[in-house]
Parts: sequence; structure tokens; C-alpha cells
Amino acid sequence: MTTTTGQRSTDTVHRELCHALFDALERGDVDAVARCYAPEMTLWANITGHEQTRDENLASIEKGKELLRRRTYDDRQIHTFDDGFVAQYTVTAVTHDGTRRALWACLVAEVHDGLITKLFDYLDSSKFGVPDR
Amino acid sequence: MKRDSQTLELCDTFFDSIERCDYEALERCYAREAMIWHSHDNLFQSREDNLAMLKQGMATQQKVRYKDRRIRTFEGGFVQQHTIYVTRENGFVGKMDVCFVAYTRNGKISRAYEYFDTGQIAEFLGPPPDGDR
Amino acid sequence: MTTTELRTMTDGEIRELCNRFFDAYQDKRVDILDEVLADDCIIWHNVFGRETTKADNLSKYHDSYDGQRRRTYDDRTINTFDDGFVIQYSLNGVMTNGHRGSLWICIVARVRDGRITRIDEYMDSSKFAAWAGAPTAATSGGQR
Repeated sequence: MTTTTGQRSTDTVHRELCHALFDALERGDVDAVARCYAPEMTLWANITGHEQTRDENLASIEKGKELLRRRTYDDRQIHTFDDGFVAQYTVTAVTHDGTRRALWACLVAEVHDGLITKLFDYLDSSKFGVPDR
Repeated sequence: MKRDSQTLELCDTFFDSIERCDYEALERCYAREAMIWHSHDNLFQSREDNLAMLKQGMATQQKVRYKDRRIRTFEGGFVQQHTIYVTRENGFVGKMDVCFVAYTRNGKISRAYEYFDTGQIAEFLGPPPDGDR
Repeated sequence: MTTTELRTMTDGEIRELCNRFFDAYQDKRVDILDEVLADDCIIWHNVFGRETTKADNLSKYHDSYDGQRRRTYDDRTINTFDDGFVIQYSLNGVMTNGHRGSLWICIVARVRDGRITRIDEYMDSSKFAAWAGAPTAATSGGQR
């Protein structure tokens, strides 16, 4: 292979980081999620309008694991830029009674040195209570 | 996350349902927001317009076959290369090589792009009916 | 890593290969095209309905620029699978007479060991005249 294996492009690094985050969230692997985050990472969610710190976010992920049977991050359309990525995706939640809800979501991330420094999460909370047909 | 078998099944069902004139099965393959782009006019066609067009094809009893299907799935979609054969009313069998790229959302087709060569349209439509000039 | 080690290319490697191919096409780097295309690479064009070889394509490369000042391969939407990629893109050209044309194209490609082994290209030949800025029935001899 003539391309160098040492230097990966920013596009590759950011894409892999996005997949690593989503895969870790799917597995409920909070440590793996933490490894995607810079120490100063913050997450702003449109549904609350508030910003969570890294620790607050990791704690809420840990707490959220028990609420659902399963959560998957599908249909991932990822576009990268020099300092981050945007992912449009479907998050499907399956509750303990088997009810399935799919939500359309968008995540914008700022990335520095291969770690996420900021996340902006966009969901439509009016769809939370609407199960799939 | 990639769900290859589900995506393959969606792709197969979509084209099989057109071959079998199974409108209900076809309709279930499209997400509510589905838009379909065609290379002959470079425009997006709405779900309703596209379904109406396919329904009309089924109603005229045109025999449609998708041969030499080569499918590849990717994160959030699939691409199928095939040759479409349509048996016209006068017995002419039209053919066209097509590349169909589809982006999925929650197990259904959300956006599709159909590439073909309208420069070869005569091979697909066949000769015009006698006296039609 | 040597070319004798067979392993699946990663998503990142395939994307980089894809972009390297199109950048080379854009920048008239036949030397890079020679590197990224496997020696036994086959290129199938829907507009011709037949397969051509790497040697055929590279030998005709410069001719393909006839009448064009420059070309860019833009709006690249790339999706990868284990053994290749699909790319949708717009080919934008500036002709020597200043005319600007666009073609929307889709390519499905197979890759192996860092090189492209097969290209299936889908274009619409009915758009070629407008791309080149040649007079068509609609634009010539009509009202202005």
C-alpha cells in the first residue's frame, strides 16, 4: 500500500471518533465514552438549553443505562471538518416492555487533538412519547 | 450501527415488490419523508408522485424485472447496480443499466438516487407506436 | 505493511483512496492514477455498455480534456463497504470558451490492497451537449 499508515487524515480520525462514541453509547460502555471526551468537554442539549459538564454527562449516561432495554444509533450520516464533525442519525430506544421509539437526531461536535471538546445535541422532545407504528 | 441483513432485506423487498406488483409491500419500503432523485431531470420526486408512477406501471401489467442485481450495503444505506427489463405492450423488451443509491432511516428508504443514461432511452422505451410522429 | 498481506481496507483508507483518485483526475496526475488503479483494473462505462482497461483509460486521459480548461470533482458523497465504495459527485467543468457545465455522476468501485480494481461509472449522455456548451435544438435557431 503506497499510502502511509502513520498519518491518518482528519476525516478518518473524526469519523472513527464519531463511530467510537456511538458504539460505546450502544454498548453502555461509559469508560469508552469517556475516552472520546477531552477533560474540558461540555454537552449542550437543545431540549434543555443547558450545558452539562463531562462528569455530569457521564453520570447521566450511567444512570440512563437502566431506563431502557436497548438504545441503538443507526443510519449514521457523518460529515467531517477540520475541527469536528456533524452526525445525522436515528436513535432507537427499546423500553423494558418492548415499546420501540425511533427519533431523528443531529449531533455537532468540536474536536481537538482527536478528542471531543464540545457536543451540541439536537432532538425533538415532542416525539419522546410517540411509539413507532 | 450497520445492520446489513436488515438493509439487504429492505433492498430485496423493494425491488421484488415492484416485480410482483405488490403495491402494499412497496409502499412500506418508503419512509414518510422519502424523496427520489432521477438523473434524467436531476430533480427530487415526492414519495406520493413516485408511488403513483410505480402503481400506474403495475396497473398497466408491464412486466418488470431487475436482473444482475449487485448490492452493497453501507452505514445508513445501500447501493444496487442492476439492469431493468420492461416488457412493453407491443412486446418490445426495453432495457437500461441502473445504479440505485438509497439512504435509509429506521429501516425504510428516506432518500434515493437513480442514475441511468437517458441517451440510451430508445433501448428502454422501444420504437414509437406507428403513426406517432 | 506489504502488498502480500491481504486484509480488508478500513473505511478511512477507502475514503482516502477514493479522494486520492479524484484529486489525481482533477489535477491531471496520471502518475498518481497509475498508482491508485490496479494494473488489472477494469473500468465499465454505462454510456458505452462495455469494459475498458486501465491502459486504455490512461492513454486517453489527456484527450478527455479536449476543449476543457479545467475540471473539478465536487460535492463528493462517499459511502464505503468492505471491498469498495460508492461515490456520488458533480463534475464541474470550465471549457476553453468560458462555458461552465456540470454532470452528476455515480461510481461504484472495488478496492483491494490500497488500489482500485474495478470502476462502474454511471453518467447520462443526454447531458453531454449541455456540459460542453454545444448548441442543442433548444438553444440554436430559436428565439433570443
